[in-house]
Formats: sequence, C-alpha cells, structure tokens
Amino acid sequence: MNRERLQELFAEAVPTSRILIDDKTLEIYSRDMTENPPGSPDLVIKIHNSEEAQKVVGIARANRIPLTPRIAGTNLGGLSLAPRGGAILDLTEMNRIIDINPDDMLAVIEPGVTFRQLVDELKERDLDLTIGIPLSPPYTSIVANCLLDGLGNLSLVYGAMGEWIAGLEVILASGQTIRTGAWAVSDIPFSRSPLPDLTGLFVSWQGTTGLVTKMAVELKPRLPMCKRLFILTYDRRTTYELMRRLARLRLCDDIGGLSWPTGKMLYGIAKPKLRDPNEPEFFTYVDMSAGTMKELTAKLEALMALIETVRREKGGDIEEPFDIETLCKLAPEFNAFAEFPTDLKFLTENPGGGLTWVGTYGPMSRFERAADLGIEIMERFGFPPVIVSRPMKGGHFGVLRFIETFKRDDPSEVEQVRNCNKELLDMILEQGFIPYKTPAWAVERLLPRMWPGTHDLMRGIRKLMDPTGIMNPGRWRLDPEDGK
Amino acid sequence: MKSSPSLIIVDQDQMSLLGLMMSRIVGDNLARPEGAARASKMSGRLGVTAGRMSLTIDFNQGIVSVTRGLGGPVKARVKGSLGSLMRIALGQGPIRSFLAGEVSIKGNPLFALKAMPFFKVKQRDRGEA
Repeated sequence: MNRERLQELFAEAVPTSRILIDDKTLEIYSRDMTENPPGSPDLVIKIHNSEEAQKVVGIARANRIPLTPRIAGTNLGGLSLAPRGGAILDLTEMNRIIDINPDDMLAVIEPGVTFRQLVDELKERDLDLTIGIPLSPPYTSIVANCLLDGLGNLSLVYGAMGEWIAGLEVILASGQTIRTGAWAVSDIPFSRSPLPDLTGLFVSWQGTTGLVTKMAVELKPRLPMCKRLFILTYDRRTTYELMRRLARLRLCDDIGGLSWPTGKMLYGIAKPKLRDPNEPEFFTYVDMSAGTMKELTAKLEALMALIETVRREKGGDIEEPFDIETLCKLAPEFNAFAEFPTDLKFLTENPGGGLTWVGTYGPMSRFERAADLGIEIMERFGFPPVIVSRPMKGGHFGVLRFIETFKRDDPSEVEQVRNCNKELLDMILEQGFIPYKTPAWAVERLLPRMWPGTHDLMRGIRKLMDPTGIMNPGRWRLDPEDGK
Repeated sequence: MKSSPSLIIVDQDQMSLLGLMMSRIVGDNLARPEGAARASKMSGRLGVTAGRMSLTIDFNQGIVSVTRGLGGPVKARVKGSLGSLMRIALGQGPIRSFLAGEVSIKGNPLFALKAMPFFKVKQRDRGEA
C-alpha cells in the first residue's frame, strides 16, 4: 500500500495534517543515535488522545499495518525504529498530566509527559514529591522509561522504574481498552496489588502487547535536606566495595560510579584514551536526603566512617568527599551533575553524533569481573572505557553500562561499535547480567541462553494479545516470521 | 576546553582530570589583565602533587604550560591532598594550609607562593560577585 493510500486510511482517525508521509520526515524518524540499522516507516502519525489511538489501532489491525510507538526516540536500544515499516505513532503531543494526587502520592500521565514537565509541575504546585529521574535528557518520556524498566535517581531505594507503575490504561490490539492494577476496580490507581498483576504484561515487552495511553505512577517524598557528594577512588575494586557497603547502610538515595573518561569528556575531550595511572579511576556521586539537618549530618558521619573502614580494611585509596557545590565552583563543567533532570551533552551532542551502550542489570557481586573484562574489550576496539555503575533496590542488583560515542556517518566506525557491543554483550551475559531496553541484535544473542519454555510462553502471550502482530513487530523474536 | 591563548596544555588528550581542572583555573586567571601581567614577570617551573596526581606548570614570561607528571628540575614543589589543594583554590590561604601541615612546599617557597594566585578560583568565577 503506498503512502498516500495509508494517509487516506488513517485520516479516518487523525487529521491529515498530523499524518506525515514526506521523505524528510520519514528520514528523521527512520534513525536514532544508535548503531542499529535504520527503520523504514511508511508514515508518521502524531496522536493527541486515546480516542485517536484506539481508532488508529483498529485501522492498523484491519489492514495489518505495523505500529511503532515513539516519543523522544532517545532510548539506546533502537526500540523506536520501525524495522518492518508501517506507521510510527509519535506520542510526544499526547502529553497531559491528567492528575496529581498528593495524598496518595500518585500522578496519572500520558505517554508524552517528560521528566522536565512533571518535575516542573510538582515544583509549580509546591509539592514535596518527586519522581525517579534518569541520566537521560529532560525531554525524555516518563512512561517510556517506566515501561522499558529503566532506572532513575531513586532506583537504589525503590527499584527499577517498572516497579513505580501503579496502573496502566492500555489499548490492546483487539481495540479493547483495559486498565491494570487496582485501577481496574478503584477510581484511585493506588497500587499494582492485590489483583492479578497484569501490569507486567506491558513492562519490558517493548510495546508488543499493547499501546499504553495512560499511566499511574508512584511519586515519592522529596525531603527538604539533600546533599550530593563526589568521591574519587583510584581503583574499581575500592569503588565497588564502597558502593556495595554503602548501599546496605540505607543512607543514600542514589550512588553512581562513573569511570575516568567521563570527567575528561566533560572538558571537551571527545575520546580520551589514556588514563594517567595516578589519577582516580572512578568518581562516584552519592545523593543523600533527610528530614532534618541533624539527620543529614548523622548520615554524613556514617558515610565518613564507612570510608574510613574501607580504607582501613581493604587498603582502598579514597579521596575525601566534596560536595557538588564545591566541585562546580572549581570546575563549572560539572554543573551537568548539579541538578536532575540533566542533559549530559558530552554524550547526547558528541561530535560524531552516535551514542550507544551495552546497558545491563546484574549481580553486584560480579561488578569487578565484568568491568575488568569490559574495559579490556572497549580498549581493544579503541573506545575509551566509559562505564556507569549504580546499585539498585538496596543493593540487590545493579546497573552496569558500557557506553560508546561514535561517528554515526562513518560506516567503518559503526561496524566497529557493533562488533565491540557484541563482544561486550557475550561477555556480560556470561557473567549473568541481562541487557535492559534490549535491542533486537542483543535479543538474538540472549535467547539461546534463555530458560527453555520461557520464550515459548512469551510467544504464546504475544499471539494471544496481538494475533496479527501489528504492535511494534521485530522485538523479542515473538512472531512466526521471526523464526524460532 | 576554552582557555587563554597564553595557556598551553601539553598532550591535552592525555591530561589527568586534575590537570584539566587546574588548567581551567589557570587559564581563567591568565585571561585577566592582572593575571597576564603577573605571569609575564614569572619564569620557572612548579611541581604540583595532589593526592596521587602530579603536574608540572611552567611559567615562561607570560606563557604558561601544564604538563602531566613531574618532569625535569623545578623551582618549587607543592604537595598535599586533593582536598587541601581544592581548599586553596577556593580561597583558603596557602600559608594557613602550610602551617596546618596540609600542604608541604619544597624548593623556593617564595616562587610557590607567587604562583598560588593562578590556582585560585576568583570570586566572579564562582558567581559570587
């Protein structure tokens, strides 16, 4: 079906002015920052509300047209590309904050609501509430981050963002609209409990089971006293030891270890390749908050005591912590870390334009080994070893990311980054870590390791929920045309 | 990194984080008329060690170059923890740090003290003016 015919078809659901079929637009929507092959969308539909979304799904189902949701398009898994053509559903303008319920600490939002938007709204209303904020640009979508089970700056305390979802409103491929969690019965979407947890059918499924049009998300108390400290450590073993112990003390809201190239990239060195053996290998930021100054002081004392213990017991070389205000006075380049949400432009606007990662969740007990192996691989491929490590959910697990910037328009560098990522992924899977926001290329390498029957069940669920396979096809190898 | 034309960062791509931070501060000071004037009257090399990291800062009649590590003869050498040198940069007097034993100076202490203003973050840089 040609583009004009497709535009005509969907014009029954959405005004033609919001159905884009010109080459320039389709080119923009066919790409993202990553090394993933470009998609081939036939049209872009800008959806404004649930009613339009429902009609679009109905037309797509009747005509077997693939639908790929997209908001900021900044996920590093290539998940908002359209590998099988069809329509990209641009949800950026479906961005109403429908409700903020301070008493029950909930917000109900549409998919296009950004972190900046909600944070500003909470400030505007003078509410002492917040949401977990990722290290991604302020214009990224909260719904997308939650549905893809990303993380934020409170994931150490409250877990991955998928766990923050209290309920969803979803348009199924059948055209039916459902609600999950307590929201299926109660007018207040207070929890995923106590009904059967259908929310899980949409978390990390990458849009293959339905189109989420509303999300109830938990908000968390924002305490009045807060402190962000930076701790420099000279080796990763000390960093991870400190990180694990600190996570268990329940002192911190967030702990994030960034490897040495990150600091230099802030100074405009695009690809720092050589580390001064005498310089710190990691700088770790530590966020603390408290209800009173007395409580905050006590937490800081406990932190200092822990640092002293790690120095004494493990011989770890740790510099005395300094706060973000001090750091920014000395080095204004670090302002990027002063307040979240933030845009780490040395990554998102790097000179080559390409940004990708192997981003994984896994056991913190293996951080050292995985980092050792990952650094060796990245250096062998000529990439600076940019690593971000953060404990999550009280230290039960953590995130370990290997990040590369590259020249997006240089085919040889794209190939190099693909090969590097494949090696990184194979290594990290071997260590028991699992990529989140999993790109299609990583699914290929992950599935042979999946427990027998699990993928069959996933395919069965997909068949049940989307028998025509229109919802973001090409993800998780769920459809008959994907092969086994 | 933007800096004064009279600042040279030797092998910037391989410079340590300390070197980049110090270079930024030195560059900001050199960009000021009083800083440039002071630098034009200075000649000699200063070794700086903060924590495990070291730098050599060469003053050569208005041109200042920053090199990673300690190399060659120096007129003076300043050594302290990263924290103590940061405090000097933020305004704590170097003599106080020296007297408190936080910082040691070897060689020509007058040369070291003369160089110290280049490592100090000026008030207006801090947005406090």
